[in-house]
Order: sequence, then structure tokens, then C-alpha cells
Amino acid sequence: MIDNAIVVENLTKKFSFSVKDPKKHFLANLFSPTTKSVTAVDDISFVVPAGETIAFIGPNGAGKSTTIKMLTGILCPTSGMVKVLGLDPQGDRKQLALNIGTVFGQRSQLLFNLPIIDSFNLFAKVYEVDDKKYRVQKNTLIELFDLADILDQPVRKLSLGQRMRAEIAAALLHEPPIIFLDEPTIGLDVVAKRKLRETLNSINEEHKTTIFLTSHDAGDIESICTRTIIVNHGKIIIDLKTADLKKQYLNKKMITILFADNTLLDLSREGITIEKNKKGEAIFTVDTTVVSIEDILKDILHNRNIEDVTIEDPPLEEIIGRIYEKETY
Amino acid sequence: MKKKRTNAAALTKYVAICFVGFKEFLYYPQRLYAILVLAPFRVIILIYIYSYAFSYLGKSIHGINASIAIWSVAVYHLLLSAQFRGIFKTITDEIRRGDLEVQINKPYRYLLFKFWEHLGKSLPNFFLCLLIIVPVLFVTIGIPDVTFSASRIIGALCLVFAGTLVSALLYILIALPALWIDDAQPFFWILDKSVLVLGGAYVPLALLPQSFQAFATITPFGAPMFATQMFNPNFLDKWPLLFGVQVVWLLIGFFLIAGIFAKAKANLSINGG
Repeated sequence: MIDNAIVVENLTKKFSFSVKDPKKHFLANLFSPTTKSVTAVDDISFVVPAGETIAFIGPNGAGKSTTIKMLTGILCPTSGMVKVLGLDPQGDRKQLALNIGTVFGQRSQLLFNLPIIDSFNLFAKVYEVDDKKYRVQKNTLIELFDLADILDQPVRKLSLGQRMRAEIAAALLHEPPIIFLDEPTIGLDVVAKRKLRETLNSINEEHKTTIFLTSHDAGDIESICTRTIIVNHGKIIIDLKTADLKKQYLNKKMITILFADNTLLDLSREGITIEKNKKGEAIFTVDTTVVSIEDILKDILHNRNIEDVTIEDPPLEEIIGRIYEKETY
Repeated sequence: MKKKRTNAAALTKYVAICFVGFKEFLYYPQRLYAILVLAPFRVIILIYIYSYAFSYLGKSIHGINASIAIWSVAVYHLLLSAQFRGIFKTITDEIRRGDLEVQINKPYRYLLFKFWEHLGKSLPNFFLCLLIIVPVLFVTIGIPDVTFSASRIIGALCLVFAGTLVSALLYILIALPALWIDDAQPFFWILDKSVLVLGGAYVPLALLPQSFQAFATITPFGAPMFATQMFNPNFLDKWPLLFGVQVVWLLIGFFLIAGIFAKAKANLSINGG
């Protein structure tokens, strides 16, 4: 049993591409083009213990997809070291491929023109799954991902939600110890997302499958991942437990107060942003770096006829958004 | 953790891939209907044109009579049904869309996967055409006027087999530039039309000028269709040379593809990473 599912040290990926120079002659552009280099991943290091659920997130162009593709052996790193399940994704590409599951939300690995079951049968052969084991695993996944009714439908006729369920099931057929999910819930509705998250959690709990997830959906991160790495401009800017992310970066609280009478609050003070303020109801955000929640409540609740008070954290999405903005600008 | 694959396991998976191609062919019966209608239609047109031309030109040209000419061109169309022209579009489309990324992190070789998948699609196509074209020719113009010795049959089978592989390598080879340039379609047009002319789609190779025949023999464009010469009077003397040329192009093609694809993979960049 390997302790660390992923070990990454000083990983860098640079993309070089030629650009047309309008000042140069056509032939000069063709035979000695000007090349431009972009550093997509810049000297990152991290370790993922086996069985961990990790979110690898960042704004568009941050380098998360490039990283996931280097971890799965698709892209070749410019420099640095990567080990996944103790294997080098480039040198041991085929052996690693036998032991990982991958889902790229925007691409399909299923046989587009044939029913789902044909993709499953092919994957069983491709991943060298024993026939007996395959039958059991197939039935388990069909039940888990609710695929029984659509098993004989060609993939091209499936809805996005159905296809994503089938994609993830196909990636788990060979019971990989690690699964890479690149935006698996993209385009899914609320119910489909919830179901997928529940299923991934149960797989992680039952089989201790390491889940490496990239997503723009904070809901995925919050409900699946115990740890979050945030990257921007190719560098890791935050590596924390998801729960701590909120604690550490949470400096705002949203307060809703319902009065039993027609009280209208005067909220004009520093550190308060009014969301809604009318007779009998006030909703506002408190910046806890400027004013404490205790002071505010003491002041407001004193001698007033209160019906209900709610204090909420802003959603994780907002916290992540603020981190991105802070790093970008 | 799963161990490294054995050769038997590798073969099993490629046979499974071939079967998927076959299933995909059968899943859409419209293609079968099209073949059932078009194949005999094509043969009847050939018979009409060549019978008409030979009635004016004389009984035989360079030892080729109307019957041999028709059989040769019919064999061209038969071989065309087993060719790997479609693999070009599959590979270039996957590269352009970026779908290549979900294929190259699987435990198989991407290009071998595509080869076996297309083999599964083209084999039923070939056998179906064989079952239609040959009986139609037998009934309409009869057996070509040549001796069917074991040597002729073995030679023809060798040329069909090697020619099909040469075709696969050529169409894969011209698809790979799509990893660097936006549109590799011009390469396809050049190759496809060259095979069409130098393979004997319109006129059997034996009826072309000597310089054309020599060009068709030494370039890779004629190599996929060498088997069309199986009814020529000098075939028994010539087939070992033709087979040798095919083997040389197979080796060159194989090493070129392996080198180009390895270089492409090292420099791969895919949209969104």
C-alpha cells in the first residue's frame, strides 16, 4: 500500500508556440518563426496522501488542467518530478493508465455511437479486468449511478447528466485507487450534481479511493473535498483543509434580523454593508476586521423586540472569488 | 496495484477494439444498404465502359483484354473498401477537438487502437463487397483468362495484406501533421488522388505508359493497390518485387510514424492545458 498517492516536486510546464510577426516576410515567418513561451505551471510542489479527496482549483488559465494532464501522463513536464502511485506518468504511462481513472468533463471517453454497455465491455478488456470481477463491479456501478434504464442507449442520445454518470462509472470499472476528475459537474443541474457528489463521497468512504478534482463549482469542493489547493498564474497560492479555508479567509458575516414590530434600523456605520433595510426586517453584511459581531448585536438587539436572528457565513464560492480577485489584481 | 500487461492481454484488448469497430459498422444498417446498392452499380458501369472501349481499341493491349481490365479495376474498388481512408478523418478530428487527451491516457497505444478500430469497420465492408462484386463479375463477364495457380493466389493474398497495411500507415502518417498545423486536409487530397491514379482506379496500371508504371511501382502511392495486377500476364514474375516494395514502405512508414508521434507527444499542448 502506497502512503502517498501523488508526489509533485518543483513541477513546471512551459508551452512554446510560434507567432506570426507582421514585420517579417512570409518565408521568414515560415522558416524562422518568432517563438513565444508561456509558463502554465510554475515550480509547484505538493503531496496527496492515499485516500484523500483534494480540490485543485483556480481561475481560468491558472494551470490546473495542465497539472492534471501532467499527473495523468498526457502532457510531458518541462521540469520537476511527478509520481502518481509511485509511478512516473511519462516513463510508466501504460502501467499508470491501468491504475487510474480519469474523467474530463468536457470530453467523452465513451463510444459515441454505441450503447453505454459496449463502452463498459470494452473498458473491461482495455483495463484487463477479470470477467468475474467485472460482472460484480459493473452491476454495482449500474446501481450506484442509476444507469439500468439507459444502459442500452447510444451515448450520443444521452443527456449531459446521464452521460456524466456513465463517464464516471466507466472510469471506476477497474476500481482504480485514484480518480482524476476535471470539472465533472460542468453543465449539470442541481439534482444531478448532488447525486454525483453523494456517489463520489460513498466511493471514497468505501474504497478509500483518492479523488483529485478540479472544478469551478464551490459546491463540488465543499461537499467532496477535505483539502483545497488554489493555484493562480501557475503557482500554488493556498493549500489548506477546505474547512480551514472558510475560517482563515472568512472576515464577513451576513446577519438577518426580523423584528416583531415595525422597527427600522439605522445601520449607517463603518464595517456594515446593507443588503436590505425596511421596517421589520434588516439584512446586512458585517466586516469583522472593522467591527465585531458582538458589538453590533449588542447595539442592535438592546431594547428591541426581536422575532428572529440569523448569522450566516458567505458561501465558499464568494470566499474563493475573493481569493482569486486578490491574487489577480 | 495492477501489474504490467502481458502480450496475450494486449492482443485480447486489440481484438476487443476490433470487435467494437465491427459492431459500430453493424449498428448502422444504412451503410450496408448503401453498399448493397452501390457495389453492383459500380461493377455494371465498369463493364459497360471497358467493353465499349475495347470494342474500338482491339482485343488486347499490352496483353490485357477487356475481361482482365474490368477485373483489375473491380479489384481496385474491392481493395478500396478495405482501405484506411477513414482513419485520417478520425485522427485529425480527435486532434482538432482535443479528444486525443482522453485516448492517450488509456492503457493502449493510441495509433494501434485506431488501426484495430478501423480494421473492425473495414473488414465487414470488404467482405460484403467481395460477396457482391465477385459473383456479379462471374455472371456477367466470366473468369479472367489466366491460370489460377497456388503461386498466383499466394502472391495476390500477400499483396492484398501488405497493401492494406501500407494504406493504413500512409493515412495515419498524413494525419499526424494535424498535431502541428490547423488543417492537414491538403495532405489527404494529395495522397488520396495519387492512390486513385497510380493505384489503377480508372485504368489498369498495365495500360499506362512505362514511365507511369515505374513511378507507381517505386512510390508509396501505388503500393496499397499492387494486388490489382494479379490478373496481368507477367504477375507471377513481378509479385515478389511488388511485395518487396510494399515491405520497404511498411518499414519506412512504421519508423516515420513512431518517430513523429513520439515527438508530437513530447510537445503536445491541448486546449485548456
